[in-house]
Amino acid sequence: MNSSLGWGVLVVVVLAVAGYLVWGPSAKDQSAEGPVTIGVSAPLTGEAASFGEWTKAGIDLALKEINDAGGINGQPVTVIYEDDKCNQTGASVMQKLTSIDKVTAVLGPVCSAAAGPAVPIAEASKTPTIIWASAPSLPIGKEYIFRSYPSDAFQGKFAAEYVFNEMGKKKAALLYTKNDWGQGLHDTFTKRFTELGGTIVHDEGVSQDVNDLRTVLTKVKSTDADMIYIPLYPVNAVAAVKAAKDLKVSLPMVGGDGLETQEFLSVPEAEGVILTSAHFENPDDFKARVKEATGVDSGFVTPLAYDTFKLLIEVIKKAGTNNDAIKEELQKVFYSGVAIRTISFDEEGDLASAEFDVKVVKNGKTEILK
Amino acid sequence: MDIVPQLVVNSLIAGSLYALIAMGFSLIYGVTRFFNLTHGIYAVTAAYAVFYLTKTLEVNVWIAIPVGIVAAAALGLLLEICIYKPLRTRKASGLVLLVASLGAFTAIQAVIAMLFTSQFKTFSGLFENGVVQIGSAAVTYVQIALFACSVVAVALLWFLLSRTLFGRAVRAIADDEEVAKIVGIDTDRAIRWVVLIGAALAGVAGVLAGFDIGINPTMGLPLLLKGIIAAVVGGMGNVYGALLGAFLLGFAENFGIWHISGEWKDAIAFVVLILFMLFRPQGILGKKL
Repeated sequence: MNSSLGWGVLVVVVLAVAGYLVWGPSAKDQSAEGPVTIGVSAPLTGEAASFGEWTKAGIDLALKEINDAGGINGQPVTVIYEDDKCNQTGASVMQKLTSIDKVTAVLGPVCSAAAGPAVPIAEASKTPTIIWASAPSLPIGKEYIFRSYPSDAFQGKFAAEYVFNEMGKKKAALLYTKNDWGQGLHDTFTKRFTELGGTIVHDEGVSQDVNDLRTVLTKVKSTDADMIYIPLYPVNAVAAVKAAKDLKVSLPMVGGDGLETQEFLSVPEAEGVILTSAHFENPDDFKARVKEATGVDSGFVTPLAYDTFKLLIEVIKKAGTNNDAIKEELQKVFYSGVAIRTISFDEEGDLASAEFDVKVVKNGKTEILK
Repeated sequence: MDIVPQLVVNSLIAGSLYALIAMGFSLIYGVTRFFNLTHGIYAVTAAYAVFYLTKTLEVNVWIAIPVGIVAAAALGLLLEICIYKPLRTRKASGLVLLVASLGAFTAIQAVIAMLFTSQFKTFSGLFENGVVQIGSAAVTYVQIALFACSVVAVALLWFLLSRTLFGRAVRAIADDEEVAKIVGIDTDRAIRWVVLIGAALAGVAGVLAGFDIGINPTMGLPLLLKGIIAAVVGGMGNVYGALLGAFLLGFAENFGIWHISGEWKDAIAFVVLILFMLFRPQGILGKKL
């Protein structure tokens, strides 16, 4: 009897908790005094953890400044960070942020590999989301998804023009990571490079976790390529530069913004690799503020994370925490930030304008070439 | 055709790595009769031990490497004593042991990720920048060491298994553990030694893979899967079969992607496995089932 009573109580408690979670008050119904919660999906661990650390530093500084200045019309702002590991974990992270934490809005994912499965979940939950994953194939242009980072449709084209016009290379070998990001850069580079009159003499995709590229580089060596375009994620890229060195492949290598992580830059074989990445201002006084507030050195996405978070809070100040109002306000926003002079979104939800830098790896860091 | 020598070298390097994993896996399977998935984590443990010793404690690499291998062997022994032996005493089925090993694998991998983060890391200090040119093929000193270790390992195993009393005991246990016990063999002790040797071999593979490519906490599973494929293809429980299976796999993978894209490499490995399962389930050197 006692046992069945115990079970009965347990069932009632479980049902009550479940009911509260499903029908209980959501973040969107918070009282005016409660905090406004923003979710952040970023790679806090894994092969692109530097992106996560840089993103977090920018958001932490913005969050501190906003709350020090009184939050959103007196309401404090809180942030829930979740680790999407730069892979399909992005889906479960987005599910948690939107359906369990019921955040007002989401920033991130930062990686296309995480954004691919996460974006449809954000859209379905009608949560305003600003990503800075760059793959052109991501389903932006829906109602609630915006992107404050330039699409790779621009980056691949920019890289092709730099390789053909500035480096004077006409025969490219292409090694790319087989995910949304790598495929996006592969497609846009190939299209523009061949339009300009260049030839792709070798074209090969590799899985994101592959770390032995000896045979792939052996094949590249046997071609008459005069450069290698490598839109690779860090693990693949480390394997590629190591194999290239072992096999004495001395062709110039040009990669994308995915290489601008400590995981890649700290490898001695990465010296001399050229990469393209979106141009963001990262002024010295901003770097000093980041360092003081968070203890972290401001990386290239830190100012963008800072700007995007501040932009979002400005929007919520005007629109309140209603998701449709936030979405409408985002569609017409013009924000002047640290990283980008004017952030605004086109009708597809994409960043309206884009500039890129060409950088070279030197002494474990990147230096701007152009 | 001038890339063929390099493809052969690449295949031998990959095969050597798989062989070190597969021989230990097969050896342990021979006496314990279950798929021990923690075999992959022995490699990871050794690699991270060397990483910690050389990068954080700045210990000389020639001291760090044996310590790393001993760490892997010690972990193998610890798991055998704390998990697998008690389960076998309770007559747990192979499936229960497999699930237990999967649990141990996942837990230890998570602990390593917590201690060292799951970031990809590289370490150096072993034969810096040494590359040898063999005809049109290039190979680094680390890769030569990998090949040499697999050759030495198979020679040592041959000696141990066929020329010592211990080897006879191991073969007796592999044939029938109960009978081996009846004739007076201390089977538990022999199994502990086998686990120690097998885990140490996986440790060697993990350390050299770390110097060759780099490490992350999830490196164990792909290594383990390739090792298992090699062991199955070679004939489960047969150490020499595992060696053959490993090199067959290395050649199939590297020559397989000669004319097709590198992303097919893993698919090729599993196609080899499926073909063997269908047409020669006992493996290259296995007894007919």
